[in-house]
Amino acid sequence: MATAFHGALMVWACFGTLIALERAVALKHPATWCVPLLAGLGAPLLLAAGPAAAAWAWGLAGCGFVAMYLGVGSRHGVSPHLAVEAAGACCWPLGVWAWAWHGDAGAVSQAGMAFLVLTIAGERRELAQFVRLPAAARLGFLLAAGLAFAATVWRCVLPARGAPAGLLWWMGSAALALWLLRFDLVLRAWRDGGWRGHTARCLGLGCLWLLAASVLSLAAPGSPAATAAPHLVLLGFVFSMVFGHAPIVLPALARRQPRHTPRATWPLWIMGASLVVRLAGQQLGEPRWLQAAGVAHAAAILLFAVVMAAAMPPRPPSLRPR
Amino acid sequence: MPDLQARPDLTSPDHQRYLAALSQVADPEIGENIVELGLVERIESLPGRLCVTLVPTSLMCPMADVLVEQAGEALRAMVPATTEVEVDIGWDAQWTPQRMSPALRERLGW
Repeated sequence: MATAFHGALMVWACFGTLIALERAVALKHPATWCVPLLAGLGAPLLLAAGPAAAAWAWGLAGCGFVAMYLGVGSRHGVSPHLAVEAAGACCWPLGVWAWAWHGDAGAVSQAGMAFLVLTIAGERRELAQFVRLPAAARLGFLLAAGLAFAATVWRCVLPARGAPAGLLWWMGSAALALWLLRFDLVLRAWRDGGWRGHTARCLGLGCLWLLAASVLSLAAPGSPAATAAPHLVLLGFVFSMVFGHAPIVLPALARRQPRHTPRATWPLWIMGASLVVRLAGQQLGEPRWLQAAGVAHAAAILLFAVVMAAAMPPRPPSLRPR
Repeated sequence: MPDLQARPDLTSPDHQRYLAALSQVADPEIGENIVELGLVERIESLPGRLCVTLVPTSLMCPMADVLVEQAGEALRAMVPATTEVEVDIGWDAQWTPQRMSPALRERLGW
């Protein structure tokens, strides 16, 4: 069961919970905690009661996630980056609806990717407000994100005529990847030491994986290697972002600053190498290579968790439970 | 330093000392300090109490709590132990690039 639905578990249970948790910490409204709670609850519900029960939990969580953005937008006004993040948020319940309603795997996969890619791209655009962007860059970002979002809505609502929407999604993704590689403020620090350089290298490599997935899907749609594109996005792009952001977000969530260690980059390289193995395995039709790649993906994530746990300083005595 | 001519409430010698302390706190992602970034909205020094308000650049990111904590620590290190330090986020104020110091604006292409 868990293997068959590993994409849904990864996107809605794992990342849905983490991102909603981050938002709830920031917004500090008690009601917002229901969103990560429901998203997390979807996983045991899937295993214990089946997909229908999980779809209810994830669908409600997705609607709650959209409501968070509506609340912020109505209170503080709508900015371009908030609009793009909100569009990504809408892809969460849209994907759950497509999963429960017609079960088109391509539409569900695209909605899951759109939720994460638009959320991350919106966050990066928010940071780019510190630099002066040319008018064409500001407009280009909105057009790329708008194309990715519109293509996802089309794919989910009209799955029978959704093939062109798939190509439009990859065009939007490619444009977003190129935009981030050119304009993301933090990428200027990729030669730096410490966590700042680590974050820049993770973000840069992540954007390259998003670009690779898009180019592969546009250049050779339907090819064996192109079927690995969602893995390149969810593991290459999204996990690179996780690896890069963890040292920044952990102090906000755990109230402790991890010490910098060069070992934190190892999972990034292992994940990258395993994705190359996956691509080759898909292209050559070698199931053993795919199995090896899957093990290495898991190892990279596990290693990252171990490295970050080891990098955390001991909790101050005043914070230890008595 | 930010363009203090536009913000006369932060130009007194005391405020300059507080700003110097706050400039030790850097935004974790951008790497620039919160004074240069123009995140300091208000500093109010009362007998036995120091109140500072910061402007959020992100409404949906939990990083604001870290900045509040670090700003509080930086100020507590320079005031008498009996002075209560309060650092808050002013959710009604809005950050704009014009709040950054002229030097930082120039460095970031403004």
